[in-house]
Amino acid sequence: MNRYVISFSKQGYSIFTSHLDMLRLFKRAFRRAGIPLSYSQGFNPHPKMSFAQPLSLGYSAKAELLEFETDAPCTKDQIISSLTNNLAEGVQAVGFGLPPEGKKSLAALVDSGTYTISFPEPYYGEDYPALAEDYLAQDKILALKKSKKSKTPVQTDIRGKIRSLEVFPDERDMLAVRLAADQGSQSNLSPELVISTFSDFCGLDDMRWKVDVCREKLGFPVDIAIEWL
Amino acid sequence: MSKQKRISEQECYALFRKTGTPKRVQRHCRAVADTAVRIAEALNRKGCDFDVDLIHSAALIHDVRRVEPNHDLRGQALLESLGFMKEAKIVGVHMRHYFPSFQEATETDIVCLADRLVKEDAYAGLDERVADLIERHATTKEHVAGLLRGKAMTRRFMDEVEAVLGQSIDSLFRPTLPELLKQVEKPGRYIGGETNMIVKDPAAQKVRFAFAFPDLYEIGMSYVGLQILYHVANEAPGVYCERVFSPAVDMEALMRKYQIPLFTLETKTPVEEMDVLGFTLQYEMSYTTILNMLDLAGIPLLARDRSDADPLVVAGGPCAYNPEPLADFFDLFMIGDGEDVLPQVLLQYGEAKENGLSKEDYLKRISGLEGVYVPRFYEPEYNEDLTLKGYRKLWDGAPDRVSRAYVQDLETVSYPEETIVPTVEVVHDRSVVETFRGCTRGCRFCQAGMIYRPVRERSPEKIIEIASRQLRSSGHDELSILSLSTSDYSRFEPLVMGLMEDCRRENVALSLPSLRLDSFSFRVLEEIQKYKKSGLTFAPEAGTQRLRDVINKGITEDDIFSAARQAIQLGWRHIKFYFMDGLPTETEEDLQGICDIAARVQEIFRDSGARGRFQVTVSVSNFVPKAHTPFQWEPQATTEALDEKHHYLKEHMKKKGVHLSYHEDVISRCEAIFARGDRRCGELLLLAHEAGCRLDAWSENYDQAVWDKLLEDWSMDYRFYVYRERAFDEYLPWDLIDAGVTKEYLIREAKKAQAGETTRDCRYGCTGCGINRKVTCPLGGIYE
Repeated sequence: MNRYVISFSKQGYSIFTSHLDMLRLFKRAFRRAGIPLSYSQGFNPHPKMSFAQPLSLGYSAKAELLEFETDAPCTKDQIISSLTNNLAEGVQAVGFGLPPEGKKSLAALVDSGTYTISFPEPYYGEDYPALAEDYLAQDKILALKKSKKSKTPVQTDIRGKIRSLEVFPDERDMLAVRLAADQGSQSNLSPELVISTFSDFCGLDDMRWKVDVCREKLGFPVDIAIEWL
Repeated sequence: MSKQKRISEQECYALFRKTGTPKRVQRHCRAVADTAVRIAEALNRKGCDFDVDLIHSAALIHDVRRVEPNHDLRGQALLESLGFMKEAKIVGVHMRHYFPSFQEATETDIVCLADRLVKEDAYAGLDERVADLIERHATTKEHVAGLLRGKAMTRRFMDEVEAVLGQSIDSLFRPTLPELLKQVEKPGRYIGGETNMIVKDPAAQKVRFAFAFPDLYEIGMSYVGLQILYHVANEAPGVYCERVFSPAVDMEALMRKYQIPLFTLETKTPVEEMDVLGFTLQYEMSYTTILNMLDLAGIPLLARDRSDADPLVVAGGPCAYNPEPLADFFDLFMIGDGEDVLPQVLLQYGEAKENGLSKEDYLKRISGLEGVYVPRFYEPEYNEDLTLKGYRKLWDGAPDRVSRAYVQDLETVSYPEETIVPTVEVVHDRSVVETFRGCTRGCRFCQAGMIYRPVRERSPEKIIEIASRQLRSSGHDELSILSLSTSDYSRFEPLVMGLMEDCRRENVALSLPSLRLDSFSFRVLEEIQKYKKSGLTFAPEAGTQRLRDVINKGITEDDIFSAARQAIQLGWRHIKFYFMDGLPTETEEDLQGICDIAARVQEIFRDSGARGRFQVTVSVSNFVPKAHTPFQWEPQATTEALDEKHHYLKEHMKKKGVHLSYHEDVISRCEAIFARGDRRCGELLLLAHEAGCRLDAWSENYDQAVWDKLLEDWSMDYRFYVYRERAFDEYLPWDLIDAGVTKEYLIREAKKAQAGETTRDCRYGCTGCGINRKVTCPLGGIYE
């Protein structure tokens, strides 16, 4: 078996393509490219292909990760060139590599994600670096989280899941937040909870749809590495 | 030196803090700066040369001393003391500025304009801003008059700016499409950009055509006709065909709120800017959506209210065979096969445009083309009893009768091999190849069986070739074939064997809809559905042999039960039956027949000794008489009668393992009005549109109370259209359209139906429908 990883970016209108639709998109792209994926056994065989981490609808991304298995070995050129012409507008394959050794999938290994959150607020309108520092200095950051079981949201402390948070002015001097947070099956933090608590903390009342989120990259524990080719 | 010095954003906010400018004033300044910059950037894109940096900084700092008296002059002094001379000058005049003519406009004018358009901390537009000022601050009549004078002056300047921009200033401040999409369900419906979407440079085209499907994206994209016509239109030289669908209710609300006009998926161009807008008419209940889409596009609904600057609005599809209810809204209809006529209509429009022809002259020219109906050239005349007398031609050159368009040879007509692959999941997500068009069976209720004659086939080789190319270009893992009756394809076995072989090799699931359930079909189904046995469907349409003979549905009870027996043996555990109720001559016995068939099939399962659960689903739909069929003269069963029938079925089908589903009558009653309506039905559509009706084919949107009220308010009595039996010699609204089959044939069939006599499949000998007056029937009498 031949296991590979590709990284791809998601920009423009393609940010409105859902996680499941992205799976279907790649499945078809491999077929069109003539790269036969390996299939699972059983009554309902499905191609061996999965994302390291789902991306929320409406987020853009610079380097999402997709791992897959093929029956025959394939090369970087083959994958990058054939997939680039074959994906939907705004989705572009950018890297090709080998997943970490071992049986665990990328989805089981991924442990962090870095995001840029852009607010429609003038960066210099407030002392945001100080606010960010104070925000992080709280003992607890309580966010309302929708639980899967009960329908009423529950309060949960997200401080421990924020790895770092810093502010900077973007190219138009607007407020941007760089957030690194837990991601993955062990501990996971949705940037939505940071957006809501940070906005409350700073007294921002922007409509959610005026805030843009981009996932810059996904991270792994230090001893785990993808071998980019 | 100091002339070049510009205050930075960071310095502005530092100055605000130092001066003690309140936060609310800072937010106002921010909004004015954003507004001014957006206007300036838009103007610069049109060739102006404003200093955007200066506009930004001056606007951001303009109210730095807002809380003090004479804040303009004090602001100016402050900035001058800091060496920001240009900003100081603008700040100093912003309270008493007079707009020059646009030719002399400077950065100052843009900042001052923005200041007059912002209310508190957001863009509000001139009207709202001035109204607010008057309400909150004007104490005297003189003051009000002064504000209105100022408003008039600002408006004049805005008019000049807007002339340069080619769009309103307000429109610069609508949310962007991505901002809208973040607020709606399934935003993927509105983004386009799918695999195989056609990209062209719109500026380099002669004709821009919006192909509109009056329903949601996922419905429209499952329709094969869209793929065919999109492909055919885009093949025409100089034509760019783009797609447009109805927004869902949530998206529509936002589009209306922010005045975002209906746009195409390919280039997001407002539909209003297209040359031609074409709707496909697949079902009557989409008519209200058509009006709603025109409205969302900002196009006048009635053809007579549109000018030559508006797009040409056209339609085609099966419902165009009775176009009259929509006649007031369309410039022309295309009747029949669209592959040849649509490119002709578009190309000739391009030519007419180039030659400076008026719309009227173009319509005169095009009305001679086979398959084109221009309703404005015909005026309906009515008898005293409200029936139609006929049409008076308003232009002598228009044809007396409009013949439908025919594609003679499917083998050579262009068929899409690179179909658009929807990124969001749609109803049918698969490659589809049309195997043949038309049907020879002659079921008397079926409009498709009449209007798509004669049967024209593609060769198995061609079908297999198209299928393989489509699969390769789309990456689909499911293939289906399309026709009115899958098994009637004359070389069905070799075709299916060939497709199965290809699909097996390529790991593609093959799906064969509406198979006739004979032993070959079972072998095929056994092969293609090895593990996953989807439900098996069967359409006897009526419960007794007598009624099946009336409707000429050539299926016997034996066919039904032996198919069920085989299916059960081969492991199917779910069989679905389709029936109609309210068919002509139907009695209680026929309803009981439906119940009996369901019960008998359950019995067959029990007798087979097979174990487990076995489900029979009986789906009953209300018969709606359609134009151009032998039942076109028949009344539809009344709401009360249908309610009784449903009640009877519910009471007599209370069996374990039998599930009954049916539709309430209300929607079919509306459907019946438009299916056989005349031009007077346009008024009802307008009323429905005014009442907010759209997407009425979706039961969650269909509002019965609203429609009940509409039917009451309508100047016509809907019963005239729905419950009235027409005489054979009545002139029918669609008699103007020559669909190919003759009225004599339809009358003959109607009489045979009353007598319970069947008519054979015309492959066993011509039944005289009249289509061969126009074209040859390649399959007529082949089994003779």
